[in-house]
Amino acid sequence: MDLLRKALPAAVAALVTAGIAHAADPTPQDWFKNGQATVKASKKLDPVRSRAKNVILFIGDGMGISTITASRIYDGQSKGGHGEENSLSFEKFPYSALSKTYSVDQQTPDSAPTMTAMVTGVKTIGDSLSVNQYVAHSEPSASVVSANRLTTILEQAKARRLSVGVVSTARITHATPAACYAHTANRDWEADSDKPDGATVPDIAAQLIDFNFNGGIDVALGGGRTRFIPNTKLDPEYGVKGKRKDNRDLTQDWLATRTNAAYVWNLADFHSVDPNKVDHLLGLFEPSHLHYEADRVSSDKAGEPSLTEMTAKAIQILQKNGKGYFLMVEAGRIDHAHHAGNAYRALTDTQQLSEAVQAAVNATDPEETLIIVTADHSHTFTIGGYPRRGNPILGLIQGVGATSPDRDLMGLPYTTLNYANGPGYTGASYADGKKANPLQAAGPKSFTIATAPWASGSEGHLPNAYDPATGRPALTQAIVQNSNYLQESIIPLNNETHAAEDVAILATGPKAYLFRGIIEQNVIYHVMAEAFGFNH
Amino acid sequence: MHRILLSLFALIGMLPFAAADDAAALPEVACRYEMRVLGTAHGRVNASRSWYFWRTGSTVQTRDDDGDHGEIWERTDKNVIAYRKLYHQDRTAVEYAPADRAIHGLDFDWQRLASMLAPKDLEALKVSQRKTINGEPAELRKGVIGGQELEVTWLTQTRLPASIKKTVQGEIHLLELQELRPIELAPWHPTPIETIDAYRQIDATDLGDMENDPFVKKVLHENGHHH
Repeated sequence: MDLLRKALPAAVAALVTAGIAHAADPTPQDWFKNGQATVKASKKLDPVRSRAKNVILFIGDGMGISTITASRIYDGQSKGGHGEENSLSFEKFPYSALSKTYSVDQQTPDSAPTMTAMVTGVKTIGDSLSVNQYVAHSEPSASVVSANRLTTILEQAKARRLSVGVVSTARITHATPAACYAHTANRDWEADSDKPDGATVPDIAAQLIDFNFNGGIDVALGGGRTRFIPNTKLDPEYGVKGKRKDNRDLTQDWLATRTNAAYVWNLADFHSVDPNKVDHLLGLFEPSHLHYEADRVSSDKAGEPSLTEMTAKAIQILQKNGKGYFLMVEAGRIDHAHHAGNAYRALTDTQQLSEAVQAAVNATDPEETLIIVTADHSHTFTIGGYPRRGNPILGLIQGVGATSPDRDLMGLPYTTLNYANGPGYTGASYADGKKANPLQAAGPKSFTIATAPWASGSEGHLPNAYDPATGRPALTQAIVQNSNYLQESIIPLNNETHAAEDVAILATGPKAYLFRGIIEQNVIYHVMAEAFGFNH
Repeated sequence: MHRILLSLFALIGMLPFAAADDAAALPEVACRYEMRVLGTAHGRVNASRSWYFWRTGSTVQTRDDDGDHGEIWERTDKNVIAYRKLYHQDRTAVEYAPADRAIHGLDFDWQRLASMLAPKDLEALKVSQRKTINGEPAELRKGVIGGQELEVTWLTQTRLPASIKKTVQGEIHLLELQELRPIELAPWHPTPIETIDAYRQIDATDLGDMENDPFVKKVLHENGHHH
């Protein structure tokens, strides 16, 4: 291996930030030299033009560019720096582009057609997973779906006897991982009980298990356990019933249909898996989605691995195949935190994605592994105002030279991070459209647990109506830096929405140089296929 | 209390008792409550609605008198409380997964669910009067919890409130028990678990990604129900 070439991608990014990250007050000369060094490093950058043995595709679900920026600052501040100078692991990759995320029928897309575009090379309609645009939404016929299926990069890799894996902090049957292995015109048909009567297209969980040519999927780690067990069986961690009506226990089918197979559902068993002895690993660590990283250790009953731990384990198993592997890794809960209007959990999950990417970089050879980090779509998440350098990213804006927070035209402080829409609207919120059940008074919103007598504990903050906001709340640092704070939104909605602007693609390794400019999202597939040599 | 129709209270001694390992055994009951919001000035009724409450050893279920909206809490053999909102007309249940309790602001205590008041809250209210309601001992308890003045008539055997009265922003919120029956003798029945399990199940966390779903479009703008 060319050690110089191996060092280069990291060196480029390191030079962008080197000398700044740990220096409180870089001199003008420092700024100039570092900028100059970045250009020199770029001039020496030698694209890896050979084919890739392995491809790892990381998806930050809903990780728009503002999320990357805010997470970079949060991460840097967590380490004691100003934050702005920090780089997440994947920001150090040498090649980047912007991805146009619209789908065939959506200006602002959902995760199903966007992931379909990335893993099949073809855009399709909303909610559809790896079927073309001619299949009607919720098409029930298996034959119609089959006739219009789009072959995925994972399937192509498997057909060539590479190893393949999917990892996610969401349900492993959720849209992003599912697009890699399943074909259906409704992303929500994750278990057979989710389908309407008469639908012959297989459910997504069954498709994962029944995808079994050349040994099938080798590694699948994530959530969604109850979609895999029958409704006659109880979940081992929580005691809730499984969701399958067909009486299949897909976890047992996994073990029965694969060699050297293991199924794990808790952290201890996960850690006990010897990647040298296990060739097929199914890990389902929650009945539905996994915990947010911020809640994972403190809240999980049986324990669950982090995204970083799952990624590392997956690579350890997949890399045993000398022919190579394809691995998709999703930080699925960035999207959910944004939908909930809670920036803190979106940033901490992005921070965890950065660590997972670094683990992949550490575990692979840049000469033979193409690593791509991108998002399926963005969110209405904004970074605004004129905070001074190093201002806490979750805090109130305090400008350069100011001794107190900046004020708006009503004399009230405001935050750097906000949402254009969502549940952080500051009017009084109600649980019902008739406004008979008040939730939170006018003012800042949060995930406050109802503790008053006569509360069932199910009140939460799940608004279905708001009063018009009159003015803005008098925010304090204590309010806005609380991990359960919901950043202000302009438009009141139950759930904050996706956004339509382009998202970033960052890449390193073989053929990574093919990412350039502003491209259609489906080009990502074609770069991966080119890297694998599937086009030749 | 004068409006309470406890016609079958005499049967209280016949009620089957729900098993509970962390509390005194609770009778399995079916209740009908009425919730009224009264203006303080002239006792004007600003809002009123009835709802049903069923309690067994492992479940608490409620349903509005519209027959559509309900909630169910199930205590599993792992001592986890599973929670779903029920939309009966749409045959849909929205579930709130344990991993998302924090972000949904949810926290459950079985004793509070099964009795509507947590023991510590009940203990914080002083007994001001003891009486009998249809043969069952009851206590009138008063006090302030969390800055809010509360008046509770507590049925000491059934371990449920016969009434709760509190004042909220100049209005009196009055919850009154209208009927109480042994669960197997009640003319109104909880929705069987098997029926609920056959409903469409949606994880509440997924609602943000289901913006085009007809049910989601509907419920996000008209529903919500709390007791």
